Amino acid sequence: MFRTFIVLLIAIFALQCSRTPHTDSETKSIELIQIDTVLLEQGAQLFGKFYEHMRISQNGSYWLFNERIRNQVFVFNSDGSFHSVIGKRGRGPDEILTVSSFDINKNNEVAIFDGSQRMIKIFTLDGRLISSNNILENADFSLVPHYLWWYKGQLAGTIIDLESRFEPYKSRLLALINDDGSTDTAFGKFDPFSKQDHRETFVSLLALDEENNVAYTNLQSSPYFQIYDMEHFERILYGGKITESFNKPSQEVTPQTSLSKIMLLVEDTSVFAHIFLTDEYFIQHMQILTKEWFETSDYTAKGNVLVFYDRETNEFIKEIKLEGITPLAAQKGKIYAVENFNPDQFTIGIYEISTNTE
Amino acid sequence: MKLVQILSRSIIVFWLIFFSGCVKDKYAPYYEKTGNEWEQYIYEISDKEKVTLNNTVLLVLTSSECSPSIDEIKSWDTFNENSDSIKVQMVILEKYFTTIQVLLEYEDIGLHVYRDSAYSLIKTDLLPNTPMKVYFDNEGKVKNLSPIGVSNDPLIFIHGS
Repeated sequence: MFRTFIVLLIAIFALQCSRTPHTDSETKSIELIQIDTVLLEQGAQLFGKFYEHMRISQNGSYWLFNERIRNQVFVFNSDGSFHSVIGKRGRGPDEILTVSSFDINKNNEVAIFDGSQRMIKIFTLDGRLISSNNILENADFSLVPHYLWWYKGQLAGTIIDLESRFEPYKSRLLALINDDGSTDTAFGKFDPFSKQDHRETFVSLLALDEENNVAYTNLQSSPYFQIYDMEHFERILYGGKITESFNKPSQEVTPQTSLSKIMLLVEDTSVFAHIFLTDEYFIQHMQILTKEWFETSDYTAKGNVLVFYDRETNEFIKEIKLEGITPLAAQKGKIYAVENFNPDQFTIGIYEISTNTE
Repeated sequence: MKLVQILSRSIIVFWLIFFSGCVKDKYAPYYEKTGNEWEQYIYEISDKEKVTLNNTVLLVLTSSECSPSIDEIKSWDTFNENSDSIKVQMVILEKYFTTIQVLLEYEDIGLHVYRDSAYSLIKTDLLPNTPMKVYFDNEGKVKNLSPIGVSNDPLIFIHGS
């Protein structure tokens, strides 16, 4: 038994070595430099809590957040002033039960995936309904919440095949969905790391680059990432490395485990909350589930780490440990991070990624 | 035909008893928690408020529960308005006051709320998870507990039938 385990371990190690480039680059020094802080104003319609997700319009003028209490999308101007609220509770054409995912395209149309009704609804920024369609009617997969993105007039999301929900490593990974809700194609492979993980995670993060026709995915519990060619729906790379801050639970955590036990099992372990793309970097946002986070429920008490990879070489560059801020989005070389989660003082800091080549 | 119906019913009754047994086992440790432990917990999370939980239903949840849970909480709100003998209160695990205020105002809920701003419930291990409801009988003992969002009928929960 022990011998089999060792052989398996070596096989897995060898497999990873053969697939994952991990030569550390020592030629680039990266720093985050704060360039602005923006307080979001409470408007006529109060917001109570946002999911840790933010979308930015292509020209940067509008910031969108998914409000957890009201299940609506709140839109702010980039100076923090309130712009509008999209969606209202209900089952009518322009109503929503659950905002599972949302994104804004270059025409400032906002797609909302209502997971409870399995519908895709598209709105203007002012909240006027453009279209409302059923989605995944005959699909043999589920869309993973939070990670639906516009991609060249379609919607792209990470998925899990229904028949593989207990063995996610057997599932396909990505789907392209037409804006009328019909499925175009489903493809890709789950990160094999899910077999080694103890958390039954099936959430894969997604970042897309329309210009270069590539998609990056990252299983939430895995330090590795995949790059897909979106023209041919083929995997280009399985890359990444276990970095200094990465830590997984030593024992199995299942949905049946009680909260107090989960707390003990996952203390100081890491999960990936976001992945970001800039022209130069692929960035993983890793969160460390600290004891302080469990004891205070203060979001800023989670450890936040950004892991930088060079997009040209796919080489690991460095980890940056963040103090008291939670990154939510990246655009045009800037990171947008929450500095204060209190809804009365909800603040977004804007940080420039500064690179020095040595 | 009748025999088939009787057999079907027997099978259904068997599985109901089987599953209710499973649920009871699953939550058994939490039935052992005393009213005093709960009252101490409320004392700690409130401004040292001394409460008596006799004849009380506590709804314990986080601020961002899904629609079925909110629908059930509204049923309890209506029940509370019409009940003289049993009071219904909420414990919400949430750091920020405004978040709770938005929840209550947006959903039009009038129940009294204790705010557990540091998620102390998890440390005390009074419940396995949230959202759950707990019914304390007239002696303050945990008489019944179950998840919120499964059944919307308060009377079924209280009378256990």
